[in-house]
Amino acid sequence: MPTLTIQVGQCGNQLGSSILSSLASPSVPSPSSLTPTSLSSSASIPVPPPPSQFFRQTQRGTNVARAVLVDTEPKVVERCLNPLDPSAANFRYSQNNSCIIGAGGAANNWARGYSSPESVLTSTMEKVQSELEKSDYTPAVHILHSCAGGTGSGLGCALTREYNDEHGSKALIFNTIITPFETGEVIVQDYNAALTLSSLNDFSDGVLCIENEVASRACKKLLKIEHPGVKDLNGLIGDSVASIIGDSYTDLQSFNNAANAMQMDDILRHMVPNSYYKMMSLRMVPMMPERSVEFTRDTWESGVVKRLKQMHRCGTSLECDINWRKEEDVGASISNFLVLRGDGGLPRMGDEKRTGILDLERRRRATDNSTAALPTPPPNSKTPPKAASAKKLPPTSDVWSVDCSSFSSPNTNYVDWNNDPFKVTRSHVNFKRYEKMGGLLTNSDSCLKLLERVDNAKVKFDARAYVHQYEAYGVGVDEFEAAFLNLDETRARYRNLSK
Amino acid sequence: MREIVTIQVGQCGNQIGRSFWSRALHEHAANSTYAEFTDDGGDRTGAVFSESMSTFFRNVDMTTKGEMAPGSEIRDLKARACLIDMEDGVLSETMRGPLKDLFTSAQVMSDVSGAGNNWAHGFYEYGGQYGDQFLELVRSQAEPCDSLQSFFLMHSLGGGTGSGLGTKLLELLKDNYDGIYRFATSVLPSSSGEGDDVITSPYNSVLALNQLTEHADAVLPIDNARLSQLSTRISKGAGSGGGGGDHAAGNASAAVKGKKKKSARKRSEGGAGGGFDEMNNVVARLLTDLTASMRFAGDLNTDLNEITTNLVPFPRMHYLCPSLAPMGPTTHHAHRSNGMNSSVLVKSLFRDCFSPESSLISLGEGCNIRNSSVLACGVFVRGKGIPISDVNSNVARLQSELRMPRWNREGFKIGLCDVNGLDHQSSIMSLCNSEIINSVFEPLTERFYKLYRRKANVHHYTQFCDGGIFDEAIGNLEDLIEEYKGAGMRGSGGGVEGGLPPRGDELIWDVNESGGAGAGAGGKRREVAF
Repeated sequence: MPTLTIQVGQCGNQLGSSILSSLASPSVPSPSSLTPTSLSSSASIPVPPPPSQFFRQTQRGTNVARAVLVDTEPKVVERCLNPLDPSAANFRYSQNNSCIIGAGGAANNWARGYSSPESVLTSTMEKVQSELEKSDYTPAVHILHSCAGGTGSGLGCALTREYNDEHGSKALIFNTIITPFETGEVIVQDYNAALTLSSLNDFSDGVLCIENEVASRACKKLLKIEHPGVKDLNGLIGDSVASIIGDSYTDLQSFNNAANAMQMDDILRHMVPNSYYKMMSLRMVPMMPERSVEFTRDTWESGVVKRLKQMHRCGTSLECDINWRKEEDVGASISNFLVLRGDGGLPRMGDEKRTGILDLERRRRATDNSTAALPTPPPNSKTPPKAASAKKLPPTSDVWSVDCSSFSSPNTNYVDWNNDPFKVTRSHVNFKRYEKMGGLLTNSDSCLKLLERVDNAKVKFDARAYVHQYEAYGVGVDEFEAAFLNLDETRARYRNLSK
Repeated sequence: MREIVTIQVGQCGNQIGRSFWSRALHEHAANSTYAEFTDDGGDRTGAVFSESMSTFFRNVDMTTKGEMAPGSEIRDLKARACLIDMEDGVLSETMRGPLKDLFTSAQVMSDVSGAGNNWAHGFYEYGGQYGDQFLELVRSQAEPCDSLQSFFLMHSLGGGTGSGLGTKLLELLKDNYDGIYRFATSVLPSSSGEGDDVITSPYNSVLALNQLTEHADAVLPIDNARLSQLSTRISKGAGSGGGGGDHAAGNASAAVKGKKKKSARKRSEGGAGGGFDEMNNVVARLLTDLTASMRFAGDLNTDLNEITTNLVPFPRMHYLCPSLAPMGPTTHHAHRSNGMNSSVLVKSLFRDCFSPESSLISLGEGCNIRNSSVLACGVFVRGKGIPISDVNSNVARLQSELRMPRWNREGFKIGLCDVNGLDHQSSIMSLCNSEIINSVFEPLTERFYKLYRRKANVHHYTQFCDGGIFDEAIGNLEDLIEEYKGAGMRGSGGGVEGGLPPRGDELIWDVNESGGAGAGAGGKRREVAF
């Protein structure tokens, strides 16, 4: 079943192209298996097509994103439609699916974006409609936007509302929003964020909040990028989101029948069992510099699941912040969704020393013919690697049998009213270069820290600072107060989870 | 895509305008793109009229008189501008000068007699007389715009035309183009009165400020005395190399098209002299830097209307004090490629920009940005490859050093533009909405009262209007001064809370201390989970 992506505003568009390109990027065989043979024959390894949920294929075989691009200025959308290096792009956008609204920009003002004229919304919804008509039924839409600026936040909310009005009865709406740095960029960002969250509470079916601050820390601390730029942040966030929403399966049987991939609406139904609790957060391991990937050997249990579990337990989203001493869940979760990807079915050169791989490889490439002595890797087909490599791989490395019981109740503290709080899905197709990776989507009280930031907006509001700008576009004192009340209620509900 | 219509009023406004247009042209010339065009039966390479150019310019096909959309070949560039003066001199100079091709006579509105340094003459007499003609002129400029974003008013407050007529026009714009932002770049007479040859300038300024407070969305105040100090410093620093002065040379549209004609009429401004040129150039740079982020690509694009949204917490308090760094044309900043690491560079730019030397208004005795309460601040960085993390860490440092109000601890707006300005590989501009504006307002009030106590010259004004306007205007200004003093205390709890007590004007940052900048941003902040 297709999922429609709507990217709104500068941030939404950059993020969207980053997520979609992560989704479309072919899996790379785990680096350690890049023997000369596999290097030379890599063309013959069938590359799985990008998830049909997010792309449709033209007759010529190009992948076209099921996406609509919306912005008030052409610069970023233009870059999405016509990337600098088209040959490197693994998918493209439909040129007709972009919508530039020349209303002079939203001026960082949520109210201005939200109260966009009817004509703007209509023309955007027409583009959405024409994309929807390309498939029989679209059960979910993924709306991407920031919540700091005016276009992404205001217009993003307005489109969520419109979509809810028109299709809400037959489709679920998943919003991924980027929350701003605590410092700067936009001064009124706290207002915009508060108004965004409160509006999404009303019109969305699930909100995944990703913090720029955390992404930036991840880039610095884990990816070792000294001065992370917007591109780095988007790349990282794109990977994490794609790791969750990309095709994954409950078991090997359904893997073999690709139609059974986990869909966006399945994820939403699982994650948000109760519409009072819509806030989700995301964790991913491992995050590491590209150059370290090939020197890393982790087992599923201790390297991926245990770490994710501990991150979940501490409420941190970064590996480096894990406190291993914590032994009990502090907060309560409503639901968790775990995705494990990797072990792409290629045997590893288990015997070789880690540091020696590169040297070895170089030497082998030089003495080309000796490759015959190496085991020929089986193609990256849809048959599980189990039989082929059972002898070489320790039993735990098989993604289909990883023990994830630490996330089941009662090992993890869940609310008592959710009967089915935990789901794990897997895929043995490698995610990009990662040999093993895990992503965890959580609906728990870890969103409280984010909600607390609303207090900054309240302080501003008490001084009535900037309110006149919003009043000019129909968001006055009453609307602000209603939004704060809405968020206070959400906060109280989440806070009471663990009581 | 997003256009700005410039309205230059009076002698000062038009001189600034001249510098501004030549600078804007050169900036686009330095960033122009070329493409193959096939028409008129032949293929040839021509300069493209880019999206970014369309902010300030129109591309007109003179044979058909048609507007050409961005992406077309440059034919005839016309400035989106209204040139207004009640004297003939400066305007006819412009229309004869090197920029003459940029304007048509239909864009000019002039008279011959001048406003006699009398605000009331400009506001009431000329305002009434020329109001309709002005609106017609604005309409002709606004209509071809795809999505008009704002009006840029350039004027001075000391005289009669720019001050009086200029503020009248602002009022007309507000009534007729509601929702389109009005930015005013206002040159104030020197606050000490030194070198000010207009006796009535305190009257004119106070009366004009009264209008600006009510009718502008944002005002960039610039102080004449400060400008002349700066330009002296710049021309000394520049030596014989010449700063931006010779930008005025060269046929305007030819420069953009890339074929430089040798119409080297340097200093064509006749009597204006080098000092004035330099002064106008500083203002021109301010305006091009201000709009750089909306015209060119960058990691953090900032529109003009975003500036208003972020920097104006209360409707009347929209005076944004500008600073520019680096100021001289040749400093070590220019040579970043010579091994200067980006975090050191950004740090030194920030340090310079927030030191009193870079301010475009004169700061009173002992007054500086670090010991005044700052309501909100915008930082706009230009230059290739400046990482956002460096900017963020410097902003974080400033947040703890400046006295930000409780309700606006994070009161920084950041813009990042990849395309550098004409004089520097990397530069920074800040706009501070701060109590420091009082060091312009307060001396002005004093000078006003010096005259007004004796009712000197008031009769010239009462020819045109009721004398009550004086009391209204000065009352309004005094209220504003008080508002600026108390703004930090607004909201429940009150109290200006900054990270540190004010430290006086010593320099706090050590440029040579490198590397530590990155830690500043992450270290202090509390951690937040996804």
